[in-house]
Order: sequence, then C-alpha cells, then structure tokens
Amino acid sequence: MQTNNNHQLFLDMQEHPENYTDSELEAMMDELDREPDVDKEWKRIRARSPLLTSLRRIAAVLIPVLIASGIAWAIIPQVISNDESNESDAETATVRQADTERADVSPVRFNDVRLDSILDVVATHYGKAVEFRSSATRGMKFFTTWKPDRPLTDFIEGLNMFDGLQLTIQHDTILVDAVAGKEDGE
Amino acid sequence: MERTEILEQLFRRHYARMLRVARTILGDEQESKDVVSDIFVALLSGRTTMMPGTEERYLLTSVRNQCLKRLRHECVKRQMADQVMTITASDDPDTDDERLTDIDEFVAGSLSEQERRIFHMRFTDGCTYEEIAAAEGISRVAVWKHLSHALNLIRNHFKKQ
Repeated sequence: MQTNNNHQLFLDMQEHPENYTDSELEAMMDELDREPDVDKEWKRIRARSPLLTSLRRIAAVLIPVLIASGIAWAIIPQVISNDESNESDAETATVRQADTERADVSPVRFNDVRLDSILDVVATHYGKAVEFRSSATRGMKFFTTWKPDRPLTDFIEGLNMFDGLQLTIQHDTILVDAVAGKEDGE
Repeated sequence: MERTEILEQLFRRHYARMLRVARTILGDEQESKDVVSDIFVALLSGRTTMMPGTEERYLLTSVRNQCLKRLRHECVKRQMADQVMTITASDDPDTDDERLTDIDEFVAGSLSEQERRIFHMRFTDGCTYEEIAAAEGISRVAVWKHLSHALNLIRNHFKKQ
C-alpha cells in the first residue's frame, strides 16, 4: 500500500475484486487493518505542533545572535519566554517550555528580532500567511512582546504604533506595507 | 486535566480507527497518516475545537471529509480521481460539501440495508474488516465484495451527473 504499485493494486482490487483470489484480498485487508504505532505517531504530531515549531524557529534565530553577543546560555530560555526556568540547557528548556500547555499563554519577548522572523512565528500560531508588500520592512528589528492567548489584532495594533510600517489583516493573510515617507525611519 | 492530555487520550483511543478510514479512502499510508495528523495538529493549536460529547463522531467524520477533499486537490495526478465517489470534478469547496451530502443521501436511499450497514461501519466508524465480518456473520472477503459493489454503485451514479 505504500508504493504506487500497491496503490494501483488497492484501487483495482476495489473496482474488480473478481480478478483476485480470496487470499490476495485477505492480504490487502490485513495491510489496511494493520495496527499503527500510536506512540510514534503521537510524537510526530507533537513535533508538528505549531507553537513548538514556532519556538524552535525563534530559538534558531535568537540563539546564534545571543551567543555572538556573549550572552550566557543560562539566560536563553528567558528570552524565549519570560517564564522563569531553572534548566541550564537552553535547547532542552526551550522545547520543554513549548511542550506544555503553559507555553500556550506565556508571553513571548522578541528582543531586537527581524520583523519577518517575528511574523513567521506569530502568523503560524494564528494560521495566517504573511505578505510583505514592501521589502524594506522585512529586516526591521523590534523589541516587543507577544501574548499568544490574545487576539492577533492586539499584536498588530501594537506593531502599528512603530514608525515606518502598517500591518493589516485581510482574510487569512497579514499584509505588511511601508508607510509612505517613513521607510527610512527605522 | 489539561487540553493536551485530553487530546492525547482521544488520539490513543481513536487513532487506529481514524487511520483505517483514511487508508480505505486514500489507499496511501503516508497520506492517511498526514490527514489524521493534520486534524490533531489543528486541535493542539486551538484553531479547532470540539463540542463535548461529540469528539468521536467529529474525529471520524473529519477524517472522511478531509480525505475526500484531499482527493479533489490531488485527483488530476492520480487515478483515484474517478475511483472513489467521483467527487473530484469540482474546484469549489462548497460543491464538495454538497457532494458529500449527496453521497450520504445516495447511500441512505440506494444501497441495500446490509450494504448500508457495512459501508457505514467501514467509512464512518472505522471498523476493521474482521469486526464487520463478525457483526454481519459473513467472511471478510464477502465484506470486501459488498464494499466494492457499494463503491461501484456510488461511482456510477455520480458519473451520470
């Protein structure tokens, strides 16, 4: 069933069972009813959880910057989330934090992070796409806090208070425009 | 109990049946896993919520509907396009929903009582062929042939439209 040939076989067996022996049909049914590895699939789904993926992206963006800045590993988890953590291993702490329900409502601080990285995280959380209609805004960096349990409009309104850009939500897309006359302001 | 724990319990309880429904419609192991996975990722993210007491029906119905909609998007490349329920001719999601309703109505009105039971046990409830055979007092091969006959009737009916 996992190959194209098996897939074609499956289709043909459905349409023309008279062309196959009982044992061939039995073998196909055994395959279709094979018990899955539930533990493995649950882990795979948890790894795809949007917030966990988002925090990994944040970590990917922030950790090299922090290391380059000489900031100790021990404080990295606090950059990812403002929850206090005694965990000394940054990556473990980040993943563990994201893996709990607490992470769903903990504010996330972005310290000097590019707008495209911020929106990548935030838009994923709300199931939105992002369209930069001005490339000048992509690399703008912000110090801001995002509360994932609040409506997306709250965060957008906060960003719109900064000079140089205007964000709007149209259907499933966050549109990012540079504000005329302010493109060089950031 | 936290939401994630509740969802994990639901996953462990219903995953095998959800996967069987997907395998029966899509006939592709990885795609079937992806459909079930997408449903739980949406639930974990909070984008989708379920009414208490309707979880099992929601999960199994979602699998069936997502599989059929996936066929619509991928049918051009796949022979499955005219294999299962010929639901694929439309580019309009609303039309898909109407077709799903049409299929349910056709099943209710045109299949024999036994075929209707077998169809729902497999496509709606995710029962194994063994479970269906035991419930109906027939062999697994007979179950396969009843399902095959039902699918052929459905396919031919919607091809005429």
